[in-house]
Amino acid sequence: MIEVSGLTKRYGSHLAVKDANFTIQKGEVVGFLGPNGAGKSTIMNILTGYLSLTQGKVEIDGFDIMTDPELAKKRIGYLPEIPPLYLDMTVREYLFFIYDLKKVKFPKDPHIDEIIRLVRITEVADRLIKNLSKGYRQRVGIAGALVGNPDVLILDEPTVGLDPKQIIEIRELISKLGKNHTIILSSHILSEVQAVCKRVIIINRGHIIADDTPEALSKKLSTDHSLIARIAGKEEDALSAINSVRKIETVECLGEYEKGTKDYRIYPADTTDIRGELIKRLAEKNRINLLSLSSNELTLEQIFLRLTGEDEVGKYFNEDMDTAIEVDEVIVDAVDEAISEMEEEN
Amino acid sequence: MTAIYKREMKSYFTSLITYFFFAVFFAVQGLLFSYLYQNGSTTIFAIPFAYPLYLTIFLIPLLTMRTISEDKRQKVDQVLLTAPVSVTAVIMGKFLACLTVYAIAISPLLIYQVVAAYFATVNWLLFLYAILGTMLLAATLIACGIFISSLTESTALAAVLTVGANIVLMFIDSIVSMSGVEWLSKITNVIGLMDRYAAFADGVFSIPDVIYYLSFIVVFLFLTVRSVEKRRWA
Repeated sequence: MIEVSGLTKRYGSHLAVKDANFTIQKGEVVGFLGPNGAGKSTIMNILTGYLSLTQGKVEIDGFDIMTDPELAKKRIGYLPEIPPLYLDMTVREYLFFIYDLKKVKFPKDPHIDEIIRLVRITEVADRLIKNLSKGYRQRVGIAGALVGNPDVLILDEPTVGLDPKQIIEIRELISKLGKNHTIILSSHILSEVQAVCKRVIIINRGHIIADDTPEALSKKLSTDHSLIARIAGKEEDALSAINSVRKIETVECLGEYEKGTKDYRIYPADTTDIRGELIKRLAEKNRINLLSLSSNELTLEQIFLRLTGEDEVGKYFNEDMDTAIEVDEVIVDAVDEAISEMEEEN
Repeated sequence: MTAIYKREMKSYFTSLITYFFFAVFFAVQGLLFSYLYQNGSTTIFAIPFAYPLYLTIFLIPLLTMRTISEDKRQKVDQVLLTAPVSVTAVIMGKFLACLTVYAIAISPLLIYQVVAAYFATVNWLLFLYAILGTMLLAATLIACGIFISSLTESTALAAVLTVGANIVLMFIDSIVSMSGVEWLSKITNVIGLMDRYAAFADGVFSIPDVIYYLSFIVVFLFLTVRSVEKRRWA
């Protein structure tokens, strides 16, 4: 559906996007993730034909955005970062205008009414846009993108500036739209991308630094596959039970975090999943109880920091050592502080 | 293009500036009409047309200043430029809407001619030429104003620059010829929009003059399209 190859955008001497390559299949919901100024909006603006590209090729459903702009643009609905609304129009007038602008062929009134219902703006449909709240304006922007029912929806930070309730509503709407549209959305909020996207493209300083499912990214970047178990009972009982599991490299007791229990970090010898066997062995043993077991997988937050080189492991992924080391020191300080606090509590 | 045209027209008629524009035009034209026809009884159209023209120098910028700069400032240009329409169609829609508003502003002239025709013989062909000349001159200034509006995000700056450009376009030849530098006035005589207009107002129709104005309009609109396109490449 969307094919991007060798996409480069240069503003004078500043390189905004460098050699981006990705393909998005029909029906995929993809999240662009990156810090502010990473190049997400630039890529989106290029995909929608608002900006030109310096090098490379962008094809929407087989139509080149530079040589067949009208055919390519017909297939895209775009919600820019700031919804492009005419404040002196009512919502319905605005949507009618977009309908005329896009030269849509569906019957006019039913089509617009359907969109108004879908994004739930019925109650404000005849009000002037300038009198609407941010949340409603955002929805009118999404409604505008939906006019003409384009196959591809490109949403630039669709939930920015909204309150939590509105964020949830917009996310639900996006999930609903994801069933019959190809969607690209951008965000610097990781949980958002995790909530609605099945694939994440992480962008930093104009480079695509990762492109995978959130789970696979987590696996790939985890430096270990260790498990954390919280077990009630004596330490030697717990250790002997754990050590009876095959393919265990080492076990380390992390100490008491909850009264009468101890936490253990368990390192498997390889990547085999030992959880089933571990639980079985612990259940067999008397006098101890397994209270929780979690794998040490990274959250999207950690992946993000790691990839953008802003945590202690990240420096290996990033050439820019100086920032990494600086951040490193901050992290070390923060960790020291947390440890001393914990000790005081205990 | 029709979508843009309709939207611009709607926007003009919800803006106070447009009504101010109409009010000034209607008042000046009405006063001139009653004054001239009561006292001098002329059916030469140069005067009732020409005075409002001086007003256009200051009034046309009011119509054109927002055309593109406001869209850019509010980022609405993103919806126009990502829609399946060409930049030329967008600019043409805006230009024609602006020209329509101007045509409405000078429409009372038609009523006055009908009134005059009731009392005397009116040469409708002359009237038509005068209207044509006025519209062509106004269209040139509008095209220039839209071009200037595309250069900046500030409507105020666009308005001031347009007033300046209008003065230059309309009077450069008379200003330079007063200075007495002959070679310079030879060049500026070509630009002077007023000379050609005077011919129309006197009832002289010539195709070269029409082409002359049209070429100005095309150049300005072309520059506008380039200026909007340029930002995509910047």
